[in-house]
Order: sequence, then C-alpha cells, then structure tokens
Amino acid sequence: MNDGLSGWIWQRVSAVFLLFYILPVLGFWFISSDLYNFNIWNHFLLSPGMKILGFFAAVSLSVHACIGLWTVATDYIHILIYQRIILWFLYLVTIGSSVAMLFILWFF
Amino acid sequence: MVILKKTTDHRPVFLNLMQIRLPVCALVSILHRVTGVVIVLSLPILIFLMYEVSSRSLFIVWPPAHHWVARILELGVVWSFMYHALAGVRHMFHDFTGVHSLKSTVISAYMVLVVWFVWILLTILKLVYI
Repeated sequence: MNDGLSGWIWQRVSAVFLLFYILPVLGFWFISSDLYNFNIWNHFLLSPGMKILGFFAAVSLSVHACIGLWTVATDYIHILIYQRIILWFLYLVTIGSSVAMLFILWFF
Repeated sequence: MVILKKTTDHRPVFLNLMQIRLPVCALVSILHRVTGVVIVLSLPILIFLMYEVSSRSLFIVWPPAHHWVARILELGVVWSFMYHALAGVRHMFHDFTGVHSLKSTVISAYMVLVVWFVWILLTILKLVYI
C-alpha cells in the first residue's frame, strides 16, 4: 500500500464494485414500503444476483476502506503511535466486517 | 487538536476553523472523507443486521428498528452512503475524463451537493408518507 499508484488504481476498481452493490441496496431501501420486515430483505439480499454482487462488494470493501482509512489517518493523525493504533483498530473493523459479510452471504 | 500536532515540526498551525474560508470543492472533499469514516464505523451494525436478516432468527420485525434513535442512525447511514457514492463518481469523472478545469470541478461539486440534498428530501418524504 506504500506504492501510491497501485493504491490509487485499487481504490477506483473497488469503488466500481461497491457502487454496483450499494445503488441496488439504496434503491431497494427507498422503494420498500415495509422497511423493517426482515423477510423481504432476506429475499432481496440473498437473491442470486445480489449474492454475486455482494461477493465482489465484500472483497472490494476491505480494499477500498483500508486504502481510504490509511489516506485519512496519515493526513490527520501525525503522532505515529496514535495513528497506528487507530488505523489498526479500523482495519480490524473493516476486514472483520468484510469477512463476516462473505460468510453470511455464501457460507450459511 | 493535540493529536494533530507533529512532534518534530514546530511550524505554527492555524486551525481556527471559523476563520478558514471553505471553497465548495473543499467542502465536497471533506464530506467525502467524513462520510467514509462514518460508513466504516457503521459497518459492524450493518453486518449484524445482515446476519439477522440471513439467519432468519428475527423473521418478522426487529423491534429496536422502530426506535427513533435507530431511525436517525439509519437515515445518517443512508445519507452517508449516497453522498460517498456521488462524490466518488465525481472523483472518477475527473480522474478518467482528464477534465481538470476549475470551472468544471466547481460545477460538479455543486451538482453533488444538489443531488445529495434532493436525495435527503426524498428520504424524508418517504419516511413521512410511507
């Protein structure tokens, strides 16, 4: 991730996959008249199309968010030890969520 | 603000935020960063909800979702995702078209803000009328 160009490219490639996942989800959230009915969310999120988009989104999520967090943290937190602690905590949250999402969508 | 002070760098730091004039491009940029961090912090909750949805353990309705705190958090996350996506599309437009004039960046920045405000209004209308 210290090579700026590869980070730049991965950030954008993953962004496209995330866009193709988040727009259907936001659209579904918007048109759904029964938002808190988990049944219809189950049918939507675990439909074959959304599972495939979700696979790419989950993988992209950790790439995209880790690069973004690194960019933001190294810009604003200049005391190295705080920077590293906060960054690794946020990496853990991101990668944990990403792995959990993969398991939920594909291995349950 | 202690956290922002470099230990090896003793140049003066001007951080009176009320006295810094924020151009629209800077506003769009900082909001992109803020919403990105908000999204990361919301991930554990979203993944928890996804787990509940998939496991069919709470199959009908999740009672805490109706609490007003939950609905404000929900709106905040939905707005953040929408903003981050819009600003991201703007970013990639400038990256891949090679358009870098000040005029186009200012126009696209206003477009992001306008579309985002329309989205915010629509979501509020939705919650009021549906």
